Amino acid sequence: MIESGLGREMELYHGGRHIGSSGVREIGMSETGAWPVAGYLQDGRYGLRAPVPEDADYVTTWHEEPFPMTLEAARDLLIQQETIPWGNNPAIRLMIVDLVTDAVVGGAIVERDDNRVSKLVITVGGPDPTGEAAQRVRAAVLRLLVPWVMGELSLMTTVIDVPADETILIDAAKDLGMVEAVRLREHILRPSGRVDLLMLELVNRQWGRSDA
Amino acid sequence: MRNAVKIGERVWLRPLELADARAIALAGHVETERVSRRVPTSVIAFERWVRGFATDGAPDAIAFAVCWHGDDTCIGTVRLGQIDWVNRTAETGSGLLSAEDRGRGIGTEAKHLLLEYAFVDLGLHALNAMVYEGNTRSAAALEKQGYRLAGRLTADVQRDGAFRDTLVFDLTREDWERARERRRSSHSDIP
Repeated sequence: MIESGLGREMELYHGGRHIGSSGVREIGMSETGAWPVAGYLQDGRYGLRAPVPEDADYVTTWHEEPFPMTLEAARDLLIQQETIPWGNNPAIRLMIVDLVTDAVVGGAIVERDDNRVSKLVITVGGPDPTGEAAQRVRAAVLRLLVPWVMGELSLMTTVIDVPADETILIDAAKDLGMVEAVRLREHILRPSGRVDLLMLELVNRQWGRSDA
Repeated sequence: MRNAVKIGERVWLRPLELADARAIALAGHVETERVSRRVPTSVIAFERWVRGFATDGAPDAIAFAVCWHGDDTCIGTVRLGQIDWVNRTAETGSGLLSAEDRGRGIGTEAKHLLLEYAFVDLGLHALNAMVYEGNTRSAAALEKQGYRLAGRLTADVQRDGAFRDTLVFDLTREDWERARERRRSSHSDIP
């Protein structure tokens, strides 16, 4: 049962600092955060967890829009979007936690339509949100999300929009089997000029088959 | 033509008003074609939709009512959605409420007015549009307007028990300017 699982995790949490039964912080637990990352959505370096209202403090890292947001507005957003429990919200917002520093470094959204098709949005904050370092984090998160979305959430398709010059993220997507489905010409503005926007897609061809 | 934003040869565009919700909701009840999924929708819902376009700041969506010259009754809508003010892009959409008005070039004329608004008034750089693969009329209209097929999203919609692709089109400012020149050279009366 989920409830009992969370109960155990809460016992292990003390004063915002996680202390395992051995007294050693367990992998996947955040020291400064208010909640552990999901054990099945972490790779030892980065992990994903559900948001808590206190994540408003880090809105510049996880919010997908470049426009500024007050702490109050960010807190309201986090609370108001959580409309349906048990993982049934059509849009699942997750926080990206750096497990080395325990910092919230970004956010991810899985948008589901008809519980069949989905779109992924992965955002990483910092001084250069489209630079190599940020792309590596997004690539790591993509590697966590895609198998989960297709396998455990049992979705038929998933799509992610990636600017054509973000090659690290594109390579990671292609390694996962994603292919370029759409190329929107000149849809992204960079200081050096315009680049195309790719819609990379993964289709579960076995979806809905009784022998799958 | 009260509150006209763009004026064409036969139709003009104005901002949607609350009173238009009734015509749009009614159209959803008497629709005779199965171009898209038909769902009877309330006036209340459309009033909320229209209210959503009223904003003091830069909106993320804009919709206009399409009207015949000499009349301010809403006969359809043309829309910009997903407006990205940083990258200066948006998604376009359009539709005429009555099947009788379709296939007469009215939708294309209204769309040209929307494109002029998007590229000239707003200074957008590129647009995109999505149509269900079975909607051949809309796909052909987009290509005629200068859009190019950018790709397809696999099994994006479900129709009649089968999965269908969504066709994605794009249109850059340069494409639009070329298409506009072609139209002007073939119709000398177009300004």
